[in-house]
Amino acid sequence: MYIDGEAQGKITLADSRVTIGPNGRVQADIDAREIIIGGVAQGNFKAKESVRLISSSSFEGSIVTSRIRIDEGSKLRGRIEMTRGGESKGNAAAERPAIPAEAYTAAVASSESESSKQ
Amino acid sequence: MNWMAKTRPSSAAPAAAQSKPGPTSVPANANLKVRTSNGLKEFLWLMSDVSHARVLDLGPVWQATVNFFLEKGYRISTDDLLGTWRDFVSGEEERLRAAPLTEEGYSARLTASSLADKFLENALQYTENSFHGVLAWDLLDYFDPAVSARIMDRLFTILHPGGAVLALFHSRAPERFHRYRIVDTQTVELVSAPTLAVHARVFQNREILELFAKFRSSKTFVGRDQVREGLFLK
Repeated sequence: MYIDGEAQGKITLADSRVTIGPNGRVQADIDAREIIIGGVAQGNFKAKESVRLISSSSFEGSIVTSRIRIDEGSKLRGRIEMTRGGESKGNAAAERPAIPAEAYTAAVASSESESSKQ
Repeated sequence: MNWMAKTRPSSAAPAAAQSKPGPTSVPANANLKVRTSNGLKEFLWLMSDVSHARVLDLGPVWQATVNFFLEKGYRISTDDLLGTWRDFVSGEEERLRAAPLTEEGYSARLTASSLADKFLENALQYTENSFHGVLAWDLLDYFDPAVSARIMDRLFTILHPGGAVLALFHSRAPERFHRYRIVDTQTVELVSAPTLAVHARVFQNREILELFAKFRSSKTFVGRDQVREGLFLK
């Protein structure tokens, strides 16, 4: 599946690849085998195999996957969690930053001394 | 996490003693600048007891840093706070330029405190006690003091009790703006980057302690490159 426009909602393609193109503006929860982010995306992304953030992409939310590739110049604001055998070790969505949708456009995803108060 | 209660592995102390803080040049590539970070080493040591520790990196996302933490079984979040702040301020300036002047004028609405409050309505929106560790590389001395104080309040809230903040402070204004990525447990790479923000002020030690007044203990590593690494425990 290739998205190079606006998309919202929930996308489940467990055995397929979802690619968000450079013009893509996606606000969705995606569950796929592989996710490639080239545009601007927000949501909870879960990929059984891998997630890739291409340079100049921007992502906000949570990523759960077993492999991640982050190209220099990409922006990520959120949480990354690794899985083993396709199962998450935790609940990524529960700890996702609670960011209002309207804030999204403004957000970007790039001698010893000692003292003690005890 | 408590370095006073925690037994240090026998190998850790000699290693710390041998490795002097400060920048180290890498002959193979003159553009690559790395520095030894005793603060990072101590930060990681503090979190080593925590299973699946949750770490928040307040710098840009780097593959190397993400891999470093994921390979340790940690959960990593990134939130480029300085970049978010820059975009926020740009947006506010744009908005105010377009808005009609009121009797109060622009200046009354552009105080650091009011900006900080508005910024934090959307930034650093994590639940309480979310993280065991927070990495604040070049950050706090790039903000107005009023903004830094509010950010610290928020960081304290989202930090788990016993959690640690590693923060860097410059003893003099840095010549270039850098972003940081982790190379190994005691080494960070300084990546030259376009200036996101101007170094706002040099904190005195007393001011740093005041900034972290809510934290129960602190430890500072002073590098020969005029960078102080502060480690603060909640």
